[in-house]
Amino acid sequence: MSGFRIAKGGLINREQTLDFTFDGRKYQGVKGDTLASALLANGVRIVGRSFKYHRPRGVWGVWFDDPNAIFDLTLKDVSLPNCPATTTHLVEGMSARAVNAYPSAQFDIKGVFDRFHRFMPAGFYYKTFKWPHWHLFEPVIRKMAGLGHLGSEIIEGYQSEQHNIRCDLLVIGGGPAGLAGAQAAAQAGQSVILVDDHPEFGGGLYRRSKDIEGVKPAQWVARQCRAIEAAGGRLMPATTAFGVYDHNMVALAQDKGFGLAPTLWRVRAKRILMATGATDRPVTFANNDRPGVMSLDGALEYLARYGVLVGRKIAVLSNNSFVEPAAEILRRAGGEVRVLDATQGQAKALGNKVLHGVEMNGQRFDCDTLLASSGLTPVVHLWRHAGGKLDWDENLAAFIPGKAPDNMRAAGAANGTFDLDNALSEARAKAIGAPVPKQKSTYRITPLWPKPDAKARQWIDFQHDVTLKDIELAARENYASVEHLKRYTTLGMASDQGKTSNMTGLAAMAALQGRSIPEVGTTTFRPPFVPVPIGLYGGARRGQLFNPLKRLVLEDRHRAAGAALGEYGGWLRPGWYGARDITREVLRARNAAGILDASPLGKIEVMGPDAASFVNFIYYNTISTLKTGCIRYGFMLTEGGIVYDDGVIARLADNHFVISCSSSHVESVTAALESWRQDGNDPDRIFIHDCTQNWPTVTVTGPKAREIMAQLDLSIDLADFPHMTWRETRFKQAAARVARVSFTGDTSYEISVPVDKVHALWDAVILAGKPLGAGPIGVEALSVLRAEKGYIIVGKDTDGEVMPHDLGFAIPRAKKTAAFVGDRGLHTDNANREDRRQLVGLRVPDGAVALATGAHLVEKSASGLHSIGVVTSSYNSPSIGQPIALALVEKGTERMGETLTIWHMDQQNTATVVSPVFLDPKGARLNAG
Amino acid sequence: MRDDSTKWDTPLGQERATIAGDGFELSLIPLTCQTLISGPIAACLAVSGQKQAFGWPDIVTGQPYALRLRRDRLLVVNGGQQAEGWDERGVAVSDMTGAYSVIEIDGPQAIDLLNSGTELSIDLPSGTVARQFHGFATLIYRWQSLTCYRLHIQRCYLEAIWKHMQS
Repeated sequence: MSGFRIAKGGLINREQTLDFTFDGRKYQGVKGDTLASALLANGVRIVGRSFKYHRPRGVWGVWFDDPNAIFDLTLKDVSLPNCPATTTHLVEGMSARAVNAYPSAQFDIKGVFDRFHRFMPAGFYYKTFKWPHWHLFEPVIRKMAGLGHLGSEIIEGYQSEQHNIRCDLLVIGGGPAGLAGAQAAAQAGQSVILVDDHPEFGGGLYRRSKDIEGVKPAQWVARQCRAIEAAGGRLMPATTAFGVYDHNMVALAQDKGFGLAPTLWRVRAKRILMATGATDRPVTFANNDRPGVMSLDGALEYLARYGVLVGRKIAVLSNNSFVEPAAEILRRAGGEVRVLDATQGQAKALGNKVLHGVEMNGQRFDCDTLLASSGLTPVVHLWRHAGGKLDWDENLAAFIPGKAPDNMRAAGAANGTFDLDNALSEARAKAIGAPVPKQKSTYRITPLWPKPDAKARQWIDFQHDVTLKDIELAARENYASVEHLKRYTTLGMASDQGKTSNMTGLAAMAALQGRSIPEVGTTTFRPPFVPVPIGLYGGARRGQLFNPLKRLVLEDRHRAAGAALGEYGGWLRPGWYGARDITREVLRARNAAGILDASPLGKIEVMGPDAASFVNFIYYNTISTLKTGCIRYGFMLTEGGIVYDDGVIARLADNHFVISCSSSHVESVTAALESWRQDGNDPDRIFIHDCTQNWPTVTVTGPKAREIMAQLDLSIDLADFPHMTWRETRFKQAAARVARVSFTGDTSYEISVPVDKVHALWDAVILAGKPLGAGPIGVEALSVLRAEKGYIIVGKDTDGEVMPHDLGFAIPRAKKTAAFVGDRGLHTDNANREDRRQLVGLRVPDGAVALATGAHLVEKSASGLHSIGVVTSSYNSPSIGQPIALALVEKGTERMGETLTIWHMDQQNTATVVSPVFLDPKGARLNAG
Repeated sequence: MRDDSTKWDTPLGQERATIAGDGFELSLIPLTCQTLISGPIAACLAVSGQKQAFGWPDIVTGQPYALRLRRDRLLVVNGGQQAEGWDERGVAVSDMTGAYSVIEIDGPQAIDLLNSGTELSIDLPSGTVARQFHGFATLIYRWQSLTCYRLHIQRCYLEAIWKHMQS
């Protein structure tokens, strides 16, 4: 027991005590404590175990810079894994358990791993677990990896709010520089937002023993806050700026308390003032990871904010000029403090779970706490997110903000301005765009970096157990770049993302390579600055809003008819009606008529004097010769000649076309058309309107489709309405568009009407069809119907290599003279290969079951079986009376009649290659009537 | 394919009740006609009979009115039926009455609700009313007052956007 709560001081409420447990033991804290401060106040030293060697770990830092105290927390029904104890505020009844330790952080059975550390250096598993196979070891290693455990219960109502706001100036960091800057800008008339991740503003000010501008720190902070708000500024405490993105968009996570989802604020700021302060760097010495070794800055902060003195007998190991004032503060609080100059020799911490002292230059100094500081590191993460450069400052022995990103400035300790008065004047000037006065710094530091070839183990990354020897090993094995060093050793990959370890790690690499620190450089800083819940990004996008489907106007009718609804191409559509009996629906369509909600089919209008030549250019097939009132099937290709979409094009007038593309491709086809419209065309002579949702469509298909149509009062001469033509007419006094076009192989009519008429249309069609044996069919039946006819679905029966001539559409490639998208791609060596996969049909032997979609067609070769194709669609065909399949097969058209081997899940079957058109190859049904 | 009917709430349809939120009211507005007109903006205005096309943060008043979607495109609201197709004055005309549902948000906190899904600021004018709202393509403009807004949304996403506004 060494840390304790002093009699007075801190930003806590001593009157309100809070009971909690840690690793099963009961403790008491007070309102305003973090879990870490409460444990320190109770004298708890061991709060966790390191990741690899399971060495005991104590608290190192006081806020986001602590890599050691990571807890799984439970409060009533809420469990959250991997909560940093230093940034999680204590709540009555909270139960904390150290991660990566069993049964407790104090007595961890895996602590024995440390005895085998010689066999587990950096990258040992890359070298060790590869024989006979990595997958043999993977399950155990994965089980051992990771930190906390997810609770089994979902947290009800855990949903982040999200807001977008703007301001003239966003000040990040509510310490003295941030407060001074925000006040100056607000009083200059700017709209200002000031954010700080603590619940209280003031930053590191409270640890000061002296007054600031004539008043106590707390009074000064309150005064600044009042002034900012009085000038119209907005204060956002408990809010962390965790990322800076393009165009000055800063993401903020606002803490709402334990178990409640934080709120995401996206702030678009005209200017950003970064006043994020600086953190203490660890000193690298023997056994520097022992519980009781912690940050000097952190110790001061625990004292100032939480009234906790972290030790009674304290040694301070430092190399800079801030150490004496700090030691004096600790002495005044009751600590017995001894200052050691870390630059004058190699230190070694004594003790294991309990720190007994420190040895230096052959002398032993007894202590229960060792506070280390090898200099201040400005917190420049957000600066780098925004694309700002870093400069190396020899005088500060630190990277400081260099060339600034647009509209962003740094002030205070974050800018390397460690003297308080200098920081205030700098922040005020930068906040209002005034020149910054030249200032002298009182901060002095003697550089102190890890010294290679040390005999004892010296820790660089406390959580991930990266030691100086690991850095040396990486250098020997030529992982010399800092990015390689990071991946090889996992340096900086702990949950603090290198906030304590990166500087010492890259300094060690610099020393090993005989290079300067700036020459070695830093790893990449990426958002988020601190861990945030994934739910913060998702917000309300969960459940039905995670990936909302498009909804049909007729969904109420489908539900009333007992439809099974499912996702098809981004739409919620009927898969079938009533009990699942696809055969019944297929036979209904083949024998009478199927009635289908085809509303998602694309209805993209292309209009203008150049519309005809444009559509002709877009499509593989020749469209320019299409007559008004007629329809043509066609392919859209990528520039490489790959089939991108298929559909039909109707010509309503000389300068007016409707493209009916695949249901799931409407947005992408519209975007492609817009893209081509603006490329090489006069955009004032072609316009594209996606009218899909204005024209819901009901399709009637089957031998009795015409009889049904005749009862609909559509004023169409059905006797003079051949396949692939189009009629504009009226339905219930509204415009109606009827296309005679088929995706089933039977006589079909697609009737499109305005939204407010489609219920009437559906009801009329159902009513007319019922006496004839017709009824609704879902998409599952449609899939069978179209496969029986050999009609493809792009993306299912095609892949990223299929060209139109692979599907039997070779004439435009050979004869179309006008330019079209994809033309060049169709004449490459690849396009002309003789072994291209081509669309074919497959029949299975009598009595065999349907082939599996995705099954491979295989041939034997010297090296075994190799794939020559794949089954793309496969169904039991009610119309044919046996299973059918479509497939893409090498030289498919040359293989007609050949029996091929089908391989699927280690089973082999056979199938015979046939034409993909199983039903009505001459089109008699299609053109009937 | 599995039956996901119960995974998705039954659509509320067009006859849904007004929702009273914290500082705003949400209602679905029936419009008699919406027409998309593309072409040089002066020609679009001439064909539509409108004198101006509203952008952001204009306050739209009166009927009919035209919203500017992009530099060569208007949506004319309640302007009456027009012949569809290519107009020889150099514009393309399509009926869109059924394509867009229209939600009205009225109240002092309406702007906050909108800013949960998009970036809106009176200080940041735009020629167009087209916006992404929670990732959906929408049209957003001020309607008749400082605190009333209208959203035109693709009809197929009405249920999703309505749910977003209540979440």
